[in-house]
Amino acid sequence: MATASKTLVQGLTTTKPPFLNHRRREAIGGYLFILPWIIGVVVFLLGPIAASFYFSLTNYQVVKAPEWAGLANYRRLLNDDLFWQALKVTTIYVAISVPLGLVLSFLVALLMNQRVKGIGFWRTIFYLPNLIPLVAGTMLWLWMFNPQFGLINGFLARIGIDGPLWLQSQQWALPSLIIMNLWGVGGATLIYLAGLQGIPTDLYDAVAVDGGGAWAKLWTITIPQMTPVIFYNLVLGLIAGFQVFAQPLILTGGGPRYSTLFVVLYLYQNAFANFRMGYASAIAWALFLIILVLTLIIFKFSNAWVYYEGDTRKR
Amino acid sequence: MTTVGNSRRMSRRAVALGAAAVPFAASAAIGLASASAQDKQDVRIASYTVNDTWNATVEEMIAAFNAQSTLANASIEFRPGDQYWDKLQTEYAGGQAPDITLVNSEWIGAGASRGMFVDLKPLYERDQVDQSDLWFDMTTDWGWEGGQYGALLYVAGQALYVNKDLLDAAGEPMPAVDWTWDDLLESAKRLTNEAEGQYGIYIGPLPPPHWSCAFVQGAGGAVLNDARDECTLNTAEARAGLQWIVDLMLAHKVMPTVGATEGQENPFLANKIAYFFGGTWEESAIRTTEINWDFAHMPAHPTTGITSVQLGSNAWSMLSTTGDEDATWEVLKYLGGPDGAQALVSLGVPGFNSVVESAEYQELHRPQDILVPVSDFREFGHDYYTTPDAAEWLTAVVNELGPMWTGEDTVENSTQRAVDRVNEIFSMRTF
Repeated sequence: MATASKTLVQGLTTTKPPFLNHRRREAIGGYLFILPWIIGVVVFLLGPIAASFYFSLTNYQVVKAPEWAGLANYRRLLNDDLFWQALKVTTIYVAISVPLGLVLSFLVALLMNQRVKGIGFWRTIFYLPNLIPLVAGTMLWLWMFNPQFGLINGFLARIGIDGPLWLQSQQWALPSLIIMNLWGVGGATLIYLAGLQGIPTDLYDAVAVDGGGAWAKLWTITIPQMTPVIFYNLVLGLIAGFQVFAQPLILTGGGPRYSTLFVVLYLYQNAFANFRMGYASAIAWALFLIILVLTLIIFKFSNAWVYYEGDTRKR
Repeated sequence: MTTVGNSRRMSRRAVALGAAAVPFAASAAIGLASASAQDKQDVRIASYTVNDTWNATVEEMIAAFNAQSTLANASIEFRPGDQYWDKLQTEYAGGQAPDITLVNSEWIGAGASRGMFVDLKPLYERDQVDQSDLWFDMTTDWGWEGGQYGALLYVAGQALYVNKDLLDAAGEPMPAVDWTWDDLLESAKRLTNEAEGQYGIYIGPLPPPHWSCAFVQGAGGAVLNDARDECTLNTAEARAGLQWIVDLMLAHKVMPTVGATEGQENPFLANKIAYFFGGTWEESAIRTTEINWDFAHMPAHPTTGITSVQLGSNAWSMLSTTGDEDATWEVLKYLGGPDGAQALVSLGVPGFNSVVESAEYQELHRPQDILVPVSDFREFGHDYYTTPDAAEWLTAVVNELGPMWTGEDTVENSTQRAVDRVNEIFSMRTF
């Protein structure tokens, strides 16, 4: 009996599943495959994010070791009128350029969705600005906005309007950047176009059967069906708007009189011109929190207006 | 025969040995040569691009140094001028900075106070380098807390270029030595033809630290006080100098507006400007044109009688991250010494009396008389407003004065805001 039981125990021992069973092998393989990405995220994303938070609590001139400053940089942020000016400029830019861009790119997408001859050519033309390097495109606009020799004022002069000083004007510099931004609506248009072409045609047929015209099709089918795409473009536009940097850096340097001082430009000036890396890190974190809160608000309210086909969530 | 035979055998052996030895000898010789090249320490120099002529001349100077040096092998990297200083600081922080850099006056305080630059004074003293031939005071623009942080490249500053063809066409004489701002304005009015895009005057670059400073100073004002801890642009004198420039553009319309020249090449090079207040570094580019031009003396203020010329010289500085200080110093000593100055005589105004006063230097600038701007520099030159926080307060001044140049705000309001902003920056100083 004792021998039989020993044999049974031995049998049980030998049938114990190996440590590297199929499931574990598969998991290890999976982790090995994504390891380069994990290393990349930790080293180039999470590491710098953590470092920037630490630096935001220090006085750091880069060429010298950081000195602990606690919350001094954040306190300074609250009393820095240039930061508030930069936030005001950025908010105005986002509040105007994002809705304008959403509407314009949607309208262009509707036009580009028509079945007319040569539509491929027009789609290419509208997307072309997105293929031009940012700096080259920005330099082009520098000339367009030249008050004396620029194309825009030249055109305005032909119709009897004395054009403004555009980038040189405290009043017109920010509107100039908003106008320039609209030039690049081709990217959002392309996304809208893909969405438009995914709307089932039988929905339009149903409206037609009910006697609805083009307007009814737009309001009852196209726009509701497109709300996920509009939502997507809104979130991306908002984030991109708060991160505008190269255009004001190249065109205005933040002037005249801080009228185009965007938050990221102010961050850059503090970090790389004045070498206040700690303060610049605090600005970066403030900007991150602002974008995060706004994005969460948009997500929260998206339930009320974004329609997902097949979505069973309670509205 | 045997002897012969032996001799032949010996000969063959010798040939074989010799043949075998040739590659070894050759490689040994090459090895020795390359060892000697390797003994020379590589020294990286960085500079921003001024123009093609300027770059080519500096490259020739570096080549001349390399030909005569046994210690260092210098190479130069030309970079875009935009954000040059910002990028250099970032490179330095990352340990990738060059050994030597071209520096502007406004960077020296920032670089020296942060330990970016090596104090050259002990090296000058150790090697007993005689700087007495310099007519330019190095301690003002390149000094910081008793040290010297730059070896002079050249004395740059404001010069007045005159388009003689435009003056001849309008029947205008060349300016007299003792002319005033009033004379300049009246002449500019006669030379302006707005419809043709021709203007009497162009001042560029305009905002402080550049050429508007000379007019502020000519009217009896200053950008900063002597201690450089307070902005004084809101004094009546400073405002008068700035108002005079604003009026040139907006009231008298004898100067293109700031917007009109945005993104353009220097309009003087387009043969459309009669009097151009520009930098001495522009001379090499102007020489490449067909324009019939000459230098003129800077005009004096009609009531204060003050003539002011804003200086803004350039130097070479050694980065404290340099690998081999001796080799870098060898290069720097050459660049900032009489040999370096002699090599760059075509580009501007050397800081050495012996070079400036040499017939060779003056002949090189014929048919123009280079001693016109040189004498203005010596007699009326005003130092740069060098402070460690120059980049920050100058950005503030440029921003606050912006609406003034376009007439969107008054000189009074703009200067008051500039003063408030700059003084706020000064109040946060930690040095």
